[in-house]
Amino acid sequence: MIIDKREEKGVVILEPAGRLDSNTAPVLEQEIDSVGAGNDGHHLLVDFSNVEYISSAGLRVVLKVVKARQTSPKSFAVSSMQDHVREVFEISGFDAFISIYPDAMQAVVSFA
Amino acid sequence: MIMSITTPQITFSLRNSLSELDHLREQVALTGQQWKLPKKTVLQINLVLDELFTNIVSYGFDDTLDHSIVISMEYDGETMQITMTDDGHAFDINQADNPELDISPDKKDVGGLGIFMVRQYVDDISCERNKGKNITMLTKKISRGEADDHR
Repeated sequence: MIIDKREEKGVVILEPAGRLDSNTAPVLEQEIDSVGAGNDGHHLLVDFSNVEYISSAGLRVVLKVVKARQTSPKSFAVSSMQDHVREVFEISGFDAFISIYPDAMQAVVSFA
Repeated sequence: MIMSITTPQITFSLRNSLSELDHLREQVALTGQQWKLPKKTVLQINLVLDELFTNIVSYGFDDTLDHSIVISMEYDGETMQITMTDDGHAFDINQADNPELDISPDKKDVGGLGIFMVRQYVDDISCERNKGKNITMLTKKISRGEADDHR
């Protein structure tokens, strides 16, 4: 899995491309772990524009970030989901506790 | 259930390795093309099989040997019957609990999320254990509205 990483206005944006399943989720997990969540860390946005498929293995990575950042000064959001990915988030109830934005720009603004 | 002899059937087999998820994706995509299934249905079937397959590979075996997981699909134009056979530890999906989604930082990771998703996307699940093998049978109705949505 290829993951594009960039920074905008103090927000680290990770943009994975392809399918997020039990085979590829560890790659995203590792990349997320490398973004600090402490005072000197960054807000984190995962941009799902190029993710066409997500399984529970991908959801589990997202859940781990949510938990890790609950007591952190740095927040977390996701954006730009394709229909299937959005549906999986909704059906599993994840949309209840994760900030989902239509695009990366709106997400970045929300961190300000 | 006795299926008509003309009911199309597709069978394929995967090794017990997560890298086989690519092979699974290809097979499901090919099946979708052949049976003119809507894209959404193809993704849902892929997800269901992915979750079950990942469970088997992750928890089904203690040894380091190669095992085959055989998936067979039948479609009569309205309903899809999927049968998955593996020789891993006895496992009955209907006995598994749904996850408790608790996002407190001190709570452990949730299990059962994959099984929960399988339940959302199929209409019926039944399991049996026969001669050391788990046979998991899934029924999924393919609605006409969805089928017309094919592209």
